[in-house]
Amino acid sequence: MPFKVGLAQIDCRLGDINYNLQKYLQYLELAKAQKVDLLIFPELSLTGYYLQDAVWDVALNLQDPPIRTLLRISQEISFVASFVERREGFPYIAAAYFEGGEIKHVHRKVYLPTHGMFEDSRYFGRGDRIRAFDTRFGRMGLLICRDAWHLSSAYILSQDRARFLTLVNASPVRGVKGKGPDPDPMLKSLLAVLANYLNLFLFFAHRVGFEEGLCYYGGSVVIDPFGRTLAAGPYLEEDLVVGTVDERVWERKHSFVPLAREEDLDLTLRELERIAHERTSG
Amino acid sequence: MKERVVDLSIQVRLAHDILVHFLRAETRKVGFRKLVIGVSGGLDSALVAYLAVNALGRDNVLLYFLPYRTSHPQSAIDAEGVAHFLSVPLHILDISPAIDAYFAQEPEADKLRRGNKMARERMSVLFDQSMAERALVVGASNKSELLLGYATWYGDMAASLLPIGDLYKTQIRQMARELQLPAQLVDKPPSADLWSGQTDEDELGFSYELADQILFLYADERYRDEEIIHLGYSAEIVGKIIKRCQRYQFKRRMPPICKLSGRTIGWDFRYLRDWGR
Repeated sequence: MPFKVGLAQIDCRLGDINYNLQKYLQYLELAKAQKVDLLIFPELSLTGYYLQDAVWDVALNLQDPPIRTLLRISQEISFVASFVERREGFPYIAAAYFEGGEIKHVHRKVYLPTHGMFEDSRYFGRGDRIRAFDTRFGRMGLLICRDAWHLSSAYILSQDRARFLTLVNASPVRGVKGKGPDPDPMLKSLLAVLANYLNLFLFFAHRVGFEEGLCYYGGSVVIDPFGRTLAAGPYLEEDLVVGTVDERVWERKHSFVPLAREEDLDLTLRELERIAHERTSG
Repeated sequence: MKERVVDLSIQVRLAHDILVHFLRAETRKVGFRKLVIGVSGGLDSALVAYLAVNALGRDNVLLYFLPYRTSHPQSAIDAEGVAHFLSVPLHILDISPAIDAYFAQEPEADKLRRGNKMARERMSVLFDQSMAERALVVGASNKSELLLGYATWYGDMAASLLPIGDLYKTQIRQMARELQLPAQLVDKPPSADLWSGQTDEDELGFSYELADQILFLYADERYRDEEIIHLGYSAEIVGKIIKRCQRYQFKRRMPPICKLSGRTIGWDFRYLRDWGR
């Protein structure tokens, strides 16, 4: 059955969970009104991204009141929220899949950029797994921002039989070249390539707004397994971007180009193990 | 010297849209609706004023021209031209009485001291207007000036927002051309106009066009000095520019705080300005 996916391309206030939670509720209502079945919020949009020392003030346990509020709403609509999760005392950049009053899956950002303007590793623990999970729409994988630059992340999820890849971002502008309104067309190319060659629907939710001088530029997209853009958000402005996902497209793509069936997981594993062995014994 | 090994061009529409959103977001975030800008009759402040008008509308932009009696007469004409082009009234406030009153007591001061005092007087006026009008002070420092340290510390560098601080002079000229700012401004030799006949390029000893290429390679692309010289740039100028970059780092930082505690502002007490807004 086709379903509607929404990308909540929102701005948020740094460190202000109450304000951001209200924004979540507003967009969840808006999504329900538009018969959206699944809504995706961007990276750390419940807390803000460039938190620095405020990380410790906004970190949430999964039992905390804002999460309980979200769990209640997930009886009515499925969604992905992103926030600082406090787990066994340590903060992680998390994206959680809410559905039917439960959290079905939590992905903790694995690749934490820590160079130039980025300080993720200074503040956050590193996620230690990349796994697909079942939703009422089918099998899905979650990645957070830099995770997707590592091609192995999406590869693992596709091998774990994900048909939907949800990517949540908070990417600041780092260059104003190019021709169109997209400050980072290379990222969009990557997403189309991942969708096309791993046979995935890709849901890319990117925030907007400024944190001091950092500009999060939006441009959220829904991409189908042929690499085609089904729905695209504006740049720099808030929006609810809605696309219709028809799983028949996945099946048709698979029947044309059965890359997933051809893929030799054992070969990949053998070669990666050889490389790992040579590195440690070298 | 090789011709243009470096392409500094930017996508003007994209940069424009980002900067307009930036000015709007940062102004509203602090609960203000207006911006105040000191226009000098030069290109940088003209571009900043243009962006501010596009961000918040001309009713919310206050333009101040703050001449000293030795300011070049063309500066006044060009400042008027900018205000006219943007259809924003120009407030003119002569800083000569304030400057002269001070230097009457310090008659031996050289032109550099006098120039710095003027830049700080202008800053002082703009921040007073900021309080009077609840308007944020927007500065016009660009990346070339900031990297070369060619600006008065706590003078023209002092502002609440620096929208064009990540654009080289060459890129500002490109923006001004494509956005069709008055041609007179684009072609005008840059000047702090702190004393008669002063131009940036005479004082620095190189052109911005050349400096920007070297700065871009050094700061943005992280080339080492010998790599830049190897591309055909003058060793003397490369040396001079990199020296300035390093020497004036202090102007780009908070003053050093001597660390005595376990959690010191700047070192371990780290939050963006947006914190708690």
